[in-house]
Amino acid sequence: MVSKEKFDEFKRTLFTDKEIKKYQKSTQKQKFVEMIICFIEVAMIIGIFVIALLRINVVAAIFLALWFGILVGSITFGITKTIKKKRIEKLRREKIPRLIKFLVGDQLNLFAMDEFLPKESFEASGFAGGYDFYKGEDLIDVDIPKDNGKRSGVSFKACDLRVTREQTDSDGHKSTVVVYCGAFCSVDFPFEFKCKLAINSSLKGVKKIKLEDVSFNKEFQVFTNNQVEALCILTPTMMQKIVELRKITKKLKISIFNNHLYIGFPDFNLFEFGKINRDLNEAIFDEIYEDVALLLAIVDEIKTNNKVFKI
Amino acid sequence: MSKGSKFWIFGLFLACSIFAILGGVFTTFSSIASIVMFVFAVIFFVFAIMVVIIYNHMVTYRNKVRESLALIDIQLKMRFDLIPNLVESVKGYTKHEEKVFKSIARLRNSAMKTTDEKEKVQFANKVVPMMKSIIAIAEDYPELKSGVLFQDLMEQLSDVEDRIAASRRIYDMNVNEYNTLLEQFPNTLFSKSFGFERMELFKIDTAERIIEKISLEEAE
Repeated sequence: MVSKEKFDEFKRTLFTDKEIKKYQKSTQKQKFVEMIICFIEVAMIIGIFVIALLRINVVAAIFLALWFGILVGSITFGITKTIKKKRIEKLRREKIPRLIKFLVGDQLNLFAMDEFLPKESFEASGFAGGYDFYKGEDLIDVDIPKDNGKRSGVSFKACDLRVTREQTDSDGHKSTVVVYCGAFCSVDFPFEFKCKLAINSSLKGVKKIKLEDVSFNKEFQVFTNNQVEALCILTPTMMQKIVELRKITKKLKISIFNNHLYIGFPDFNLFEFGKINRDLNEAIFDEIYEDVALLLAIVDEIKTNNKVFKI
Repeated sequence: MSKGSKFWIFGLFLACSIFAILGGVFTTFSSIASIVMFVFAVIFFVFAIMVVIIYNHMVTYRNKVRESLALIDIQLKMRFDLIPNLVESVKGYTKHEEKVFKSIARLRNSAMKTTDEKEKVQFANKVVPMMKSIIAIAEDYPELKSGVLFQDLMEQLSDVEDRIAASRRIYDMNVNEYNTLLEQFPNTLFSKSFGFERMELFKIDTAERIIEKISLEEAE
């Protein structure tokens, strides 16, 4: 992982003066169009109100004007929001791959904004139950190097996922329930773990265990099929690292079984820009740096913890 | 008074209270005496149920401690089983450590024979410094250190040491829970009379550091 200073230097090169001016120009243009639409809308509302007042009555005039105002306002708001979203998305597609490549370096195997981990991995992780919609983005594939720095061929993969389920209540009303929304990481090791271990997730054939750390027990529910082997993985140091990780991501799920390691950060999206103000500046990349640092810290833990992760 | 006789007396009182409750119900509380007897019987019955629950709770926790002790025992046995291989792999390289080889073999045999857990742990702790000195021999012999058999042995030992540490943590956890249970009120009133005593935590030494050191040196 590159240092913060190098990152600060690099992020300044991501925007040229021309681009910043172009972005400012397009935002100003959009603001201008929005204002014009607003004027037209107000004029139309007044017109409708006056016509309705003359032809029908006051109540109908107010009702019609309000109805028209809300309808046209919503459409205008929707359109401008979509345009802004598209502009930011275009910016993301242009800048983020470059930034990720710079931050991860040679370890990066793949970064594909339209790809995501297969649903089979998500189903196996036990992070959520049934679903009928599965979609994701921002797949990153990083090689976990060996202790000597050489490539191991073992990949750490992460992506953003949105998994939902449609449900019908007793009155027959359909609604969409978010089953899982957030970052999802997966590693397939060249060896088998000696136990199943589920932290805040559910796997088959496991039972709940307690650990010696009372605060850890309050924050996490740990399940396993072999307590001794589970404790070999969950050493006090590892427990501390898990607690620290949860502090950053707020929510955390871990599943370990066969040769798989799955980590989930619900409600935590990867590689999103920070708040974009009227003026475009490099500060929007800071959150992405934090995200990459988080993922590489996990990769580093896997690399250095030879006892648990023998790669 | 022995533990068995205490149980019999307790059982007798319980049976009497059940009869008194039934008696009160069947006589439809015709006299004050039967009502008083019924009230006392109900109080005793509730008390008896509470004691049974507490007793069962203590038994459950004590069994958990015993189970975790058995876990340690299994891991220690695995460690003792690896000792002959360790000695064998190093023996050819040095003749100065003959005394250590003999004492470690003696300790292993004594540990395998004893059924007392505390004694077994003591033997296991005595074995550790000897194991360390045997493993340390490899530092002077690069060909031994890099040998596949020795590396494999180190890996096995490392796994066993990890499992010993994990089992000890489970044991400590269960002992702490059990001891806390004994000290809680009202459990403390009955624990001694039912023969439940505080359990001690073990200090089990491991040869983890030296194994790690050797493995790291080899990796470099």
